[in-house]
Amino acid sequence: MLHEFRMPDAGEGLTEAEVLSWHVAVGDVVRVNQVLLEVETAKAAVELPSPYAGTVVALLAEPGDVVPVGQPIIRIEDAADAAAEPTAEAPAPPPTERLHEAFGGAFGADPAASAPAPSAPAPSAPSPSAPSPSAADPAPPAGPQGGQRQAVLVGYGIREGSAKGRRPRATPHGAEHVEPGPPGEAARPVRIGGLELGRAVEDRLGARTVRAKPPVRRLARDLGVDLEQVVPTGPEGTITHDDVTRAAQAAAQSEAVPLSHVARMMARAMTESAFSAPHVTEWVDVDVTRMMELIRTARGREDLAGLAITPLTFAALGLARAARAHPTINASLADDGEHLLVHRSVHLGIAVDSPRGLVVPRIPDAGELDLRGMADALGRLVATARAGRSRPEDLRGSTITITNVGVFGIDAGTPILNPGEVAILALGRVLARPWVVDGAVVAREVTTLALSFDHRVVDGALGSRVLREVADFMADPATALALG
Amino acid sequence: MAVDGGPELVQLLTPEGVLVEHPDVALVLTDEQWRERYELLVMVRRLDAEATALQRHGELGLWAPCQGQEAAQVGAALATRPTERIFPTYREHGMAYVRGVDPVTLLGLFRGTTLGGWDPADHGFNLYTIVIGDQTLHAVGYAMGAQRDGAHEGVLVCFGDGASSQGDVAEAFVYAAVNDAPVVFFCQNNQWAISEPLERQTRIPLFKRAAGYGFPGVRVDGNDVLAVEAVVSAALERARAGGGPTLVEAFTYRMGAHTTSDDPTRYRTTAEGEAWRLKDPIERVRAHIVRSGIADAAWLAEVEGRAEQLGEHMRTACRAMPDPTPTSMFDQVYAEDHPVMDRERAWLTSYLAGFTDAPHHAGAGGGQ
Ligand SMILES: Cc1ncc(C[n+]2csc(CCOP(=O)(O)OP(=O)(O)O)c2C)c(N)n1
Ligand SMILES: [Mg+2]
Repeated sequence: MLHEFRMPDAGEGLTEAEVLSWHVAVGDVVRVNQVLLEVETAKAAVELPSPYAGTVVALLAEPGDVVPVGQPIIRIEDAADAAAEPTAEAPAPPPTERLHEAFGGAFGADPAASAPAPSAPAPSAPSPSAPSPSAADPAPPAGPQGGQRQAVLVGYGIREGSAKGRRPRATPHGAEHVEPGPPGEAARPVRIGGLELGRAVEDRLGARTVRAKPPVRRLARDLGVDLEQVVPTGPEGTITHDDVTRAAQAAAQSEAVPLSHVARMMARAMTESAFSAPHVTEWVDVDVTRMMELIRTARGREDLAGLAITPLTFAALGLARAARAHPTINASLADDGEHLLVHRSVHLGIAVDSPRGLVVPRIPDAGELDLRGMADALGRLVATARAGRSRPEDLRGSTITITNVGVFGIDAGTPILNPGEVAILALGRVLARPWVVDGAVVAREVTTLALSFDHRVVDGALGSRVLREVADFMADPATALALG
Repeated sequence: MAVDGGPELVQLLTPEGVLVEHPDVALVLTDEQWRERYELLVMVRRLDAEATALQRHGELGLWAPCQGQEAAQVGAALATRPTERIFPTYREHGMAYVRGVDPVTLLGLFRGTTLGGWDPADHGFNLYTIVIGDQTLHAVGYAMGAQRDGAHEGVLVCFGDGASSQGDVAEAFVYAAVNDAPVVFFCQNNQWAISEPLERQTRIPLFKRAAGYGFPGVRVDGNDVLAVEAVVSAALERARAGGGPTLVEAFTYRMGAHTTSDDPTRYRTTAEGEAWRLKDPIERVRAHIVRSGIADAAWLAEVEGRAEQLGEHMRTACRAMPDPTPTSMFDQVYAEDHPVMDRERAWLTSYLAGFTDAPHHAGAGGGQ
């Protein structure tokens, strides 16, 4: 009867194996479990024992062939006449030899090496007084590869020159502690706890083996990064999570920059505000020539030196006063949506471009301040914020806010509310513009004010009134301050 | 490399096959008992070799060889009474053999045709446990049950050197200690947990850990069938008498691969294997029984013949093993009929019947 032996799955779930070498040839008579060939799988080099006794009729793969699991690799004719009785060419080994031969694996697939009953004690025999058991052992005939045997005490030959060639290099027998090799020699066998780890894989594939943990491999797959191209920075040449991220960024068109804490806060606050409060923005152009004359006068005064008297100072004064006069605009909508929290004081938030990003420190009780007080408070607040030293409590609790886009050379914008507040004023730049005065076009210093308000709380009439009052204040602040 | 078990190793039969005395442990066997032990060791090695070969023939998905650990397994199993429960790992083929589980039954699990294959109650031998260390908890619970039944019986639970690092094992130690559970923790320290050497599991000899939990620990030469049987017998006797748990560390060596999917030449040296070969558990028994006239060449050959027959029996039976029906898995979940299983079995049956080229066995015999 003709048997075909198909390539087995020698690991779990392997799909193919490479034929390394044949141990038999066509015409050979083989026994059950006699080693037929050695194959290399993705996991191991293994010897394949014969499932059948008989005569080899055909070898169906060459060394070097990669054969799919399940494909026939050898044909063996098992005929009662052919090979039920092993012939002289393949003498039957004694049962013990067959026993040892069947093991395969790391040790003892070699029948000669594993044959029992050495005839002399090994030189290294631990106990010279121990009698050799060999005298009483059944004397085995020479195995198929009989020849030279190096005997040891209890029946196993020392296995030199393993057919597999996998003996780790230069391991001193019995060496207890071996220091690790110099760094960088990744392909050398590694020693841990006195044991040498052969590193056969690395030896074979060279130092450029990709070494990465499964989550890192997964990340690389998700990001489309080829691990072969990644420069490893992890221990023992492993590719880290960061290595993969960096490689992905280098390959990408845009760079992913992590957001700072302040930037993340801004993103969250603006999203919350823009999508919860229905904004209305109104704007108005104001002739602030008189205000600018006042500012220029103040700059010349020694007793006011060092005070920040700028368009922002007057906008702040104007807004604080309007907010005090119209408390509904200095308020918050309660979380229940059914109450308005009207704040007793005006805590004026000032949007500042700080090194950490946009922050909104506040001037407490701004409604009570005069020009000096406001100028002084603004000067200190802006300096502190620009230095990045605003205290957390300064950055909380504003009730209404000003953003000065004018400093960036901009005329106006539609500001987004600081969350929890119902109005925000944007101050544009001051610029000489043609302006009609008493029917004639003249050059005046003009700015634009824009007020955004939460229309759930503030209607157009109130919003307009507040904006108008701020505009009027800035048009003639001296009079307003003098007359109240 | 860990080859020498150190001064605390209990040994009664040297690797050269010489009987030696130990101050605390003794066991004297009759000639018949010696022959029985030798034959068991040879049979176990043979069944392990045949299963390994069957994997290479393509008949098994996997096998976890026990080569080198035969004495530890046979000795410990012989120390138990047949009524006492053994909780194995996945490598206890020697214990299974002593407990009368047909090796062919073991093959079913590794061929993927059964989900265990034997009834633990029939053999006092629990199903193989793959989850490392888990069975120590099962065993302690079982032992506490026996204790509450007033049964005066011991329980033997197996685990490995690698398992000693598992939290389950530590919990089992704690529970057994404080409850005086009648359990023997039998650790086969085969020096390796797949590719991790013992040095990566512990700073002190494993048996010394028992002291920290408050029960005795012993290190026995795991390749000495006599010493293992003697030490485990004493530990079980102590358990039966209400003395509580014992940790027995059987110092041995996994001579083969972790499983047939593993290639140990990638992580350990030939020199280490050669050193352990000199301590082979079977050769020393053979040396002893031959030298002392307990067995002659003819009898040894008979044993080899019986071992060959066992190999052939396994090979033939393995190839003839029927594939299970796809629906048979539903029969294994509950002891009795269960509406959810009935529903799922019916669904799978109709699904399989929906294929035009449905294999004839697909839906057949699904229900019971
Ligand atoms: C909880 C758990 N973790 C990991 C594994 C994977 N695993 C299978 S065998 C093994 C090594 C066990 O070593 P050891 O306890 O020394 O037993 P041995 O295999 O040497 O008999 C591991 C980690 C598992 N089966 N279960
Ligand atoms: Mg282990």
